[in-house]
Amino acid sequence: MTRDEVVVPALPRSAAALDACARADVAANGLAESAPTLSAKRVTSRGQRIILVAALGVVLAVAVIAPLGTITALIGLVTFIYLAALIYRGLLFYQGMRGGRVIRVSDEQAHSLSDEELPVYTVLIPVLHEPLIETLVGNLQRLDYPVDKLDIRLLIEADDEVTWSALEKLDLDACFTVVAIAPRQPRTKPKACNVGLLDSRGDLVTIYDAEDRPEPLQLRRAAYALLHADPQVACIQAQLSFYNSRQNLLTRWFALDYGAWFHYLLPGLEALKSPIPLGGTSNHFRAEVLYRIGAWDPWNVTEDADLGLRLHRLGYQVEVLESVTLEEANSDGINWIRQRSRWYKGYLQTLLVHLRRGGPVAQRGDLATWAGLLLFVGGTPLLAALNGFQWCLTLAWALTRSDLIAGWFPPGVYYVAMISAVLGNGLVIYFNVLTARAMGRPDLVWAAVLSPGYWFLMWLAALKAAAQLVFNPSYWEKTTHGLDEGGQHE
Amino acid sequence: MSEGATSTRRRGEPWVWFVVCSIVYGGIGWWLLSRDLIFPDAMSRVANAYYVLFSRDPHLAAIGFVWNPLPSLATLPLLVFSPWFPALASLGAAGTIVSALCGGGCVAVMAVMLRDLGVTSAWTRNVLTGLFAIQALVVLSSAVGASEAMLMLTCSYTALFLLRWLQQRDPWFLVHVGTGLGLAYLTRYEAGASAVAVVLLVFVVGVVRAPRQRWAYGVNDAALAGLPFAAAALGWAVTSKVIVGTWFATFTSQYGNSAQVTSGQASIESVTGSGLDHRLLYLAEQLVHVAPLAVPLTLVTLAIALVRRDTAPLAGVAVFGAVLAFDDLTFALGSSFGWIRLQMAAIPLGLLAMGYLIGVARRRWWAVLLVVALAATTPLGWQAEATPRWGREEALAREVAQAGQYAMQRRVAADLDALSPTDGSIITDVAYSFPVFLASSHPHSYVVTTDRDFAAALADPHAAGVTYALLASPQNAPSDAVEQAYPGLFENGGGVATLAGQWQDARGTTWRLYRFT
Repeated sequence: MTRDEVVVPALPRSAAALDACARADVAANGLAESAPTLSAKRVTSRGQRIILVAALGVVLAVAVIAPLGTITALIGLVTFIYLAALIYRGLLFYQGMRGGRVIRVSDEQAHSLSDEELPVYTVLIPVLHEPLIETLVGNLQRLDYPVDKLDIRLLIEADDEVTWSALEKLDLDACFTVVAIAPRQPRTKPKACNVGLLDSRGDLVTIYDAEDRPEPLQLRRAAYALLHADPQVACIQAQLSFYNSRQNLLTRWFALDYGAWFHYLLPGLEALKSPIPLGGTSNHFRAEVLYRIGAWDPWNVTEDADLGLRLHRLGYQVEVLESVTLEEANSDGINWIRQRSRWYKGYLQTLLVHLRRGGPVAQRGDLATWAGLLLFVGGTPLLAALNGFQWCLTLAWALTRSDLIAGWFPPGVYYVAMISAVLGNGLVIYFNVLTARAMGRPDLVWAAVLSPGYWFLMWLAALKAAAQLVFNPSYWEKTTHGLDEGGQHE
Repeated sequence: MSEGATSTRRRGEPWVWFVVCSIVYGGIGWWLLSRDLIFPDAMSRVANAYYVLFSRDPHLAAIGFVWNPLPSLATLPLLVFSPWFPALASLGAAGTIVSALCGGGCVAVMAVMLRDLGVTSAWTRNVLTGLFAIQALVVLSSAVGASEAMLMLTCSYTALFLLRWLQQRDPWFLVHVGTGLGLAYLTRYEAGASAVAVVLLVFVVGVVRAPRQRWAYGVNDAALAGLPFAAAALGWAVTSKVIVGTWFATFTSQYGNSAQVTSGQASIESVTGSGLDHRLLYLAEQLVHVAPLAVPLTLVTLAIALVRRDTAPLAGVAVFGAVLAFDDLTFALGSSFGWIRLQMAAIPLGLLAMGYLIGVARRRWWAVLLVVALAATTPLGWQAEATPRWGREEALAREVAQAGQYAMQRRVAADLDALSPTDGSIITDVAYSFPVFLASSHPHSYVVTTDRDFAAALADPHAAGVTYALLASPQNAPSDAVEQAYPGLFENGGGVATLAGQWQDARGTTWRLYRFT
């Protein structure tokens, strides 16, 4: 399949004229109908199902004939994946450390565009069961952008009484539009965003979550950057950080997680020309391109990551902007696991979508794309899931010195597994120590050293994600906000 | 254009030093090996790697835990080719290749550090680098396959990035510092002293420089510099504990450094004299020969640095000064051999002090003076190597070569090969017989100390199919495991074996082959 034959999905601009119900229908199924292979509406394609079932069958059959050999081979395979993912992470980190690529727009440059020159900016705010909408509106009013060029759209499910009643008490500026989302499946954030996009009037589009505190100049900086960027640059991702990272150990871990992501991994991915899975908020798009590529996939629970990959497949670029949006770090373990398991599930959905026929092999068959897709998008949830099992196995062996377990590891596998276990765990802890330093947050160094505790939570999340991918693929785990203590730290 | 060409040439400078020095050191090393001037410590490190690949029971743990593993690990990939190039193993040439590359690397890093310290004149820098490269200990350590060359390379790598961190403050440099310290520790345990000094320095500088959260910055910086070292030290100790049951085998093993020093105490003291005063005098004599300018120039440098509030010269002092202090202290306390090579760290210490002083002074006559001083003192080191009082190992190596010990041991190997022994039929303690084992073309005939069935085979040779025992006189092999299991075996068969062969060199070093009855 050549590049020209690839189905390029699109959302019809004309959908703006439709009634709410029809718009919701386009928003929900537009992508899945125009380019079914690019949507996670069907978790696996027929080919994928055949391959998966056949692979499972072969493994089971071989396991019956030669159980020990099968276990050894599987452990060998896992070890190999581990090592590859580890090397790739190291490479990303190294690239990121060397600076990677980050766009910097100075305050003067941000202010250099006159109100006439500034494009109309659509800001999509998907909200669900959000009693704190007043704070949100306050944060948005701090944005430094001419009001007549702002098109802020609060996307609220029609039956979301909590938010509607909170909204009644507010007196909104003219730049706010409240969009009621008709209650149709799938009830996900990306579907709401699509609805919001369909009758928006912006040339540029961004998304903020309800609890976000974007840096006031962010829209001006992004507008400046996009106006001056190559037309192939379809999206600019701002950096995310947390305002409550000192709340507890979990938020400290989370802060390090994001720190590594935005300081090293993202710039590293960009330096390697690998696809960049976008973060959930503060990504700034050219509206034109969003329409052209079919916007968000409502059936994918990490529509942001998927969109980053789709942009890459279709030849667009994503860049990183030096401007921080503060978010609320999840401070509650259970709530964190729900959120993380959604991310992992979404990454798996994204992996499956982009491995389909006409996937990156056909379109961008380069090594960087493959490495990014398999080792990063697929590797992240997979490693989180396997990590726990590996630890259990190691612990079991250390405690029992069982010959049975020792027998599963022939020398070749054993040494590589040993090296990746010791070196891998050590390196990731060390990277976190470095991240703390690079973030100018040396107080996080203890959290960095205690990282294995965070991996344990990741393991639980990955298990939950795997189970949910099979039984409830498009279910959206809502993350509860407002768990920070007072919300005004730092 | 010309500017670009100049900067390319400058960047190429260290590479030229690396290539030239590695080749020259390798050539000298080969010349020494071809005359059987073999450094036994170097050969035994090669042997450790050889067991991993070619013993009857090849496994990674056979690399042994008495010595830190990196010098042996580095020879592993070369030893793969020993079936085609036997000298890699039989003469320990694999060790020489590694040490020559390390020595060349160390010289190159010194050239870079001199530039970073502000020796801007290419002429001065290259003459200084050249003088460093021809120091007796630098040449010999790089040529004979000793682990000193690797220690110097890992330490100079650490010092280079520590210097850059002190000068430029980018935390990424601390990652290199940490890596260097970890590798240095895996090369030689005295690097632990460097690690302590460097981590303390980084902590203090981190605290002083921090804009706020002073202690946290200090801890974070120190963690970046120290964690890889801590992981290396802990990892090595735990591995050792798991596999041989002791955390630090070099201090506890019957073959370890402590045991060797204890059993060699009399012979050490016969040269150095006993008592703290004699030892200190001996150390001072050594230092005067190896690097007479190092200590005084370092003191001057520290004084100037204090006045200028400049931390740059602390890089060399923390890394090399700590190794030197550790080695001298352990000798002064009577727990080291006091070999002259243990003073080697003084050479880069002195050179870096010179580099700093030249960079700071920016006076031509001053640079010329220091260069001339270094040149003038260079022959002292060579003189020391030629004098048995200081060059004790070197004198011994000459004696051993003249007496034909290695030739005799190769004959042992050839004679045993000629017996066409079955696999695992000769038991021997390779802590002493490694030259024989390395020279054998049928290494599988031997049951060696690193084999996991060694203890069982030793306890019941017949049941294990062992026919012969190969051992040296207790005088040469004070803690031979086979002799210890069968006391009197060397002397008269100990009632369990009959003499089947004997070999002797001109110094009376004797090997005997016994056949179990």
